[in-house]
Amino acid sequence: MASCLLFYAWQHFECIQIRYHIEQLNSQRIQASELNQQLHLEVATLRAPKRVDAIASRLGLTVPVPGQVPPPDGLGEPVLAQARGMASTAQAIRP
Amino acid sequence: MEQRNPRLRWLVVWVLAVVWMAVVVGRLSYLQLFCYSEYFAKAQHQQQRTFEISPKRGTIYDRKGRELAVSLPMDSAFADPTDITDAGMVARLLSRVLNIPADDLETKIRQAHSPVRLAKKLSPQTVQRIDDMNLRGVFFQKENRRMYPQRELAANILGYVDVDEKGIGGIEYSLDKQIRGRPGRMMVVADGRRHWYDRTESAADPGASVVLSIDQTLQYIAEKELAHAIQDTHAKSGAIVIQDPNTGELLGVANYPTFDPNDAGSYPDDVRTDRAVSAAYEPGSTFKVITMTGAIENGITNPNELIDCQMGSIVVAGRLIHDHKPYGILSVRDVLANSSDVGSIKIALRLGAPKFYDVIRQFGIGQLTGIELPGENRGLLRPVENWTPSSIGSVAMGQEVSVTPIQIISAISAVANGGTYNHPRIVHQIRTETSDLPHAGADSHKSTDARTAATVRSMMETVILEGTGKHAKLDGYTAAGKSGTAQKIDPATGRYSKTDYVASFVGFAPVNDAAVTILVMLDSPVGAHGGGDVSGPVFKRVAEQVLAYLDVPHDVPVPTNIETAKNIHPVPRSGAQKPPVDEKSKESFEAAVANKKRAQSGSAPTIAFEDAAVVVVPNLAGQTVRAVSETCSRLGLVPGLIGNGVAVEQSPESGTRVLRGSRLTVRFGRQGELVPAAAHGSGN
Repeated sequence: MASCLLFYAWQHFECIQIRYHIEQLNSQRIQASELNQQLHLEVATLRAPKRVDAIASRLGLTVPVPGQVPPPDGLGEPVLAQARGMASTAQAIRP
Repeated sequence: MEQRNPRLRWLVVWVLAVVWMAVVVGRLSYLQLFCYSEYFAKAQHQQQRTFEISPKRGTIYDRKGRELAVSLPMDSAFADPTDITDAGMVARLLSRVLNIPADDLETKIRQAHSPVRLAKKLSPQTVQRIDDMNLRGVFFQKENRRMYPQRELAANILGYVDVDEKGIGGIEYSLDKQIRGRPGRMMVVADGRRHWYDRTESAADPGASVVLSIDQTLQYIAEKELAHAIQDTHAKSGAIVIQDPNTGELLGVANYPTFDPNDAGSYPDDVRTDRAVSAAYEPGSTFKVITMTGAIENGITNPNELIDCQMGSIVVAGRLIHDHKPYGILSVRDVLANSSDVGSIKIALRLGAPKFYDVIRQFGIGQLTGIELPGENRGLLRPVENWTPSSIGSVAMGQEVSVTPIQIISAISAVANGGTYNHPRIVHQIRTETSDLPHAGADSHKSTDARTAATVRSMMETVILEGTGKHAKLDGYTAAGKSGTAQKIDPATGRYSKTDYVASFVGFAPVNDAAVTILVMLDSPVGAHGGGDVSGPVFKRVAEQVLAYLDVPHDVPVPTNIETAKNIHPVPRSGAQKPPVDEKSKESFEAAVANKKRAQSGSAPTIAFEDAAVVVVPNLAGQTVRAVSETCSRLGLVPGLIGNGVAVEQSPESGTRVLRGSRLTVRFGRQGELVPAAAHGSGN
């Protein structure tokens, strides 16, 4: 009977210790999650276009002018809506 | 005798032991059986604590998944008055850390009957200092704080939250129900040292995340160029809107002035307004696109028909209306290109008020677009039954009607995409952790037929190539657009002001298979106020950057007179001497740089040199038809000849630099015919 009582007491306190440990791990998990969110926020702040633009300007970089960045599909044939309209316009007015 | 004494002593000891045990057992039984409830409640009160878990507000992303608004958990300090024995001491200690008067803290603690919040959302350093004090009855609870890592970027679209994390303005307000989530509850058990060793949790439901149609980079381009334009023109306010004409999604909505939603309370209310949806204005000549579309769709006219613009004045129901310039005979194409009010009014008169009204309604004018932003203004379009006899003249040139930037850009996008009006949208997706929430898809309807849209696109291209939109011409892309210079109403007199204008330009590029529609609107620029002069260059700068970012292939060759920075300062080969600097060419180079920078202030330097592809339009006044034709042929210009006699008017004007192959329209008349001085009207 004494040994049963002792065993009961031991497992009771062991449960409490395990609960402490679980709670500790839970806290670590929450802290890691919060740190993850803070780092996401920090990344978003560091990648802000205004900040990047300011750094680029300090380094002497500017917005590329047209033609400086090659298009992915190469230069297409120029198509002007006006070109199609010119022929019909020429008919309406005197040469 | 001696044998009875030890037995008596043992008996006494046993009796005392039994009595002692009986007392102990009796006391234990009394405590366990009769006082159980009372002590259990005390233990629970000491050990257990129940918190409300504030839900994490949903994150707002741009279309590429970049965070625009996030919520971070932060510690708030609470005090349990039942656990605090010396409220005064606790208040004095916390006062130094929280920068709150000790008296206020003490009053709060004493007056509370349950845990009370002392300070919200503290920094980690402050939390650590309080924690180190190890004050009984003071504890922390997580509460979420809304943060906007991009600060002012898209602030008017995002909105902001109040101290209770309730959305105010923008998407934070309109989707507050979906974003805010539902709170949970947590019960924790703590030991004597306040270490938790058990918890029971009913988890909070986090809010749904929202993915906007906005692109962070395009938004920044629009905001940067708008800020430059405001600085250059000293305008009171402005807006730039970038839209995908094929879907109606808004890719960028810039407002000026704007604010930092991290500190929204520091800004006045009008700064927090989203002008793109809330501020209605008279569109002026940009509205002529709708006038022309209606007329062409109903077979009233065609781009080649000649219209007598009566040298710049017309009387409509007793009201005299002047053009900004006196024009004679113009083709319908040139009426739009030169923004002739007289020509537009004549076309509208032929269309008739009822049909004109129907056309306008088809383009969404005077109606809510249904965009997912609060405070949308439906603008003003009076029912046709309430039009006065002169209203048709006013509406034809964009007066007596008011629109928001969102409305006008959506109407122009319908022309750009072949005739389908797509309702503008700013929310791309709403999603929870497990699924996507249903979101009403973009609504659309046919506003005009494809053939009419193509014709009007061609006419709008002429506006940029030859008309009032020359400053909006893009390098490497075809573009179509329309400028607008609308007189504002003077609130003092109730009449149109002669000094305050809204200068706007709306256009799309490339002309065929448009990738973007862009509207630039500047309110009350100082000095130059023409839409083509003031907003056109802004359109050019924004469009070129946007099209490059979207990797839209060039559909026309990039002009060779635009030199890259590398070509201007070529790196000498190793061992080669640097060529001697020619002072004259250096001077002309610097002058060219300065001229170009003045013309394109605020943008990346685009260096232009004298080049065989560029010609200067000569003065053709007084020349015969034959001479003009020969001159055009020699210069590589395409002549558009109207009338008989000698040249009395030309477009573009002499001195204008154009590319070879550009169109030159010349009107002929009687020798000595004078070109009258410019008159007023709604303008270009």
